Amino acid sequence: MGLEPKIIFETADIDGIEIIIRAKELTPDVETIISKVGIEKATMQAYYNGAAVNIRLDDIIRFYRDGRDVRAQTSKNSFVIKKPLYAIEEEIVSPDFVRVSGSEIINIRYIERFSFVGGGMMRIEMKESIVAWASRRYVNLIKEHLKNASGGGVL
Amino acid sequence: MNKRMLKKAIIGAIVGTVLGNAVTGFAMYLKAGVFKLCMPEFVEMVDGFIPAVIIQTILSALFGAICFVSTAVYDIEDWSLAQAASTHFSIIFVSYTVIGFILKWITPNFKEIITIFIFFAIVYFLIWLIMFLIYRNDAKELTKAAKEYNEHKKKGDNE
Repeated sequence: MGLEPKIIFETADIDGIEIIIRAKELTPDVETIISKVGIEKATMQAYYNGAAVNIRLDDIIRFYRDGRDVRAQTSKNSFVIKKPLYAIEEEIVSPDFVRVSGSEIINIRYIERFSFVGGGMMRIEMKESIVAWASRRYVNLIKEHLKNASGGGVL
Repeated sequence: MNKRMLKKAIIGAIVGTVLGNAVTGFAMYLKAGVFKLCMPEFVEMVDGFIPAVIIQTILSALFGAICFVSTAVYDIEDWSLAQAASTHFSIIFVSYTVIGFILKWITPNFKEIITIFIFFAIVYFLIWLIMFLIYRNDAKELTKAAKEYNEHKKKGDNE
């Protein structure tokens, strides 16, 4: 890891412990610190056949709108999430997830490849034979996200 | 009309104004060896050079605005690139033909109209081809970037 974080402790009149991490941008190194401190919710509440379950974020391949529902798809099942997509986008800190259209957020870890087939959307082949679709309008945002999350990289 | 469309309309109007007048003047120079801002037939039709320039400027601005604002069809997600390009082409060709007739840039001559149609079609095919190649390249770059991100993450997880 290439950074030397400054650690500052302050007493405060609060219940429990509050940890605030400040950095210029959310890089993989910052994300490592967050996960090691164990701050980010590693799970999300979802519903399967009406029953509430907790699913691990790492297991989620994509979030997508399905009619009036928002669903989280894993390799095994599809779960209902009782939140709008924009709220999920705000809640998830991890750079693993990126919004690719008005109706989908995908987990980069599960991407196999992007392909443009001439239509209005860009096809994203994910693991487990899942296909997501990126809007042409989001292409530059996805590029920017991948560039920032990789710390520069190929883009 | 939202901010983005308004911005496009303004830029289009400016570009249209400049090109409409400049191209007419240049075309007249090539045809008659003299730089004239408006077609003589149009000047005669509206009874004077100043009214001709004003009307040509307004219609050129309108044409420019139409060209730029109609690029919004490329943002329609349900449409293929071919659908968007052919719709954009149709809007521009019809607008150009109507304004061209009014300003006497073109005459109601079948051969001339077909020539212009073919010219526009070739230009639009090239635009479609370039955009297709750009998006295809974008897909390759995104695949590469996603692979690099995942390799970077794997290294971080193993630390």
